[in-house]
Amino acid sequence: MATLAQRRRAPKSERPFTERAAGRWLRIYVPILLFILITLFPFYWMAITSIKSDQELLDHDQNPMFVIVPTLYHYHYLFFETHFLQWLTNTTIVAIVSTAISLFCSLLSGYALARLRFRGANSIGWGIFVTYLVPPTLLFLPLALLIRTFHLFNNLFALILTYPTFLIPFCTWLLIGYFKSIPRELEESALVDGADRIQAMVRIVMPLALPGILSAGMFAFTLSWNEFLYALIFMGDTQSKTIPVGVVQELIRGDDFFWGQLMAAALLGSIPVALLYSFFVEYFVAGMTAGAVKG
Amino acid sequence: MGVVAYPLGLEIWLSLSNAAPGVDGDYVGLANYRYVLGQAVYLHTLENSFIYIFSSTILKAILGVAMALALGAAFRGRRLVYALCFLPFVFPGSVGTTAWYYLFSNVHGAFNYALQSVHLVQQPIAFLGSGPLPMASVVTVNVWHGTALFGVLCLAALRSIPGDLLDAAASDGASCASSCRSCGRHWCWPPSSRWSGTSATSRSSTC
Repeated sequence: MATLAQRRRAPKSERPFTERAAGRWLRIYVPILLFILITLFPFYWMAITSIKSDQELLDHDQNPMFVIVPTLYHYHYLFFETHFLQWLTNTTIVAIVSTAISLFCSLLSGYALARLRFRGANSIGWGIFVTYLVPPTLLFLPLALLIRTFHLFNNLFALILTYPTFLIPFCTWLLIGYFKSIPRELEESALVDGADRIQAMVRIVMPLALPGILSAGMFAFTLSWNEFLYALIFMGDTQSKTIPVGVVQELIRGDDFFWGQLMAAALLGSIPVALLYSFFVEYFVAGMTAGAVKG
Repeated sequence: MGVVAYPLGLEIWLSLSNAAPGVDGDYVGLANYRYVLGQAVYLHTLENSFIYIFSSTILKAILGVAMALALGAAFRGRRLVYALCFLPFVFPGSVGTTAWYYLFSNVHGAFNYALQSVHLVQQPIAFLGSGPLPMASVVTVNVWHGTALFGVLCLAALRSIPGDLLDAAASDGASCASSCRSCGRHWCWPPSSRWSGTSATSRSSTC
């Protein structure tokens, strides 16, 4: 393989350096830059809007792409005159707890479906995935009935218990793929050496499946952080809202959009998830490689 | 599964009965379905959903593959670029959509300002008014939101192509494009097509 790779590179190095560099720029950097520009433009828009004063926001003649006198007024308003911090806490708690619950359940079910042989394992696997595809717009009515029965409206547990309905199927399905990609022999030799199933799973399989587990966890965290519909329906009190709902409901009053505050909240609310991804994005891609693609 | 199966069952039952708030209904067969399918508005929304799902999924697939191919090569600062490209996907759909709403706005929106300042249009365009433009706008937002996931999955698929396969293709004189084509067909198509189904049915309906 090394010789092949060398042979492949050989003709290139004979070309003049500038031509190579230009080709590289054209093939790699230009498309990437274009992509990033388009992707990030709305974020630039949010940032620029969040630091504009209200006068500038309402000025028709000014170029809306730039700001003349930046101000942190909207951020101040957000922190001290809305329940933004409370929403942030709610969202964090709900996202972390429901991710933990879903990850635990799907580790067990994913392992069972990937490794243990029992009747109907395949159809259960399919069933789990199909439940992920049932849209929440269809499920929220019956779920609301359930929540009412348990008297959980305006309680964070309403969300903590309903989010796993779409997190577990997805994580399980991702993890089945990942567990299947780990050679069975590793575990079998552990079993022969006297470990029981649980030990084999925890000591041998889990460390190997770490990228998969991480990416499932990140995915679950993102989905529950951004979830809108259930949070909108189950959380009526201003105090108990999550960021995606609270921001949109409290900062848009009728026809009146509080653009500055809205955009400030949008940026602040997505920082945790953005940080998470910037640290673990390589794991995420690696986890997807085995889990989603081969599953 | 029970968590999902019970509400789903309840829903099927409700759709077959004439229950109203506070009243336990009786079984009425498919009457509700007949009623709904007789409504012109419903059929129209159905048509809109199909246009929305298909156009945004196709666009996401094309752009996602392009993104994966661009990001597949090794270059400096790759991790940062990955994270940046992934931002729209991890961004809360509700607030992201609000930002776009502002961009599209015909009063203070950036797009209208840009179009007017280069004198392409005289009057502000109602991107979210009536006609085909609103659909295009909504599809744009959805594509912006979902392309990253497609890209990462395609990237994952690309990475799972064994390197020696590409080396062999290159030493046999295959161009970059043709090796993309043949490897892509065998390695990337099955997962990405499966994913496009997933994306179309589930994610489009939520954001």
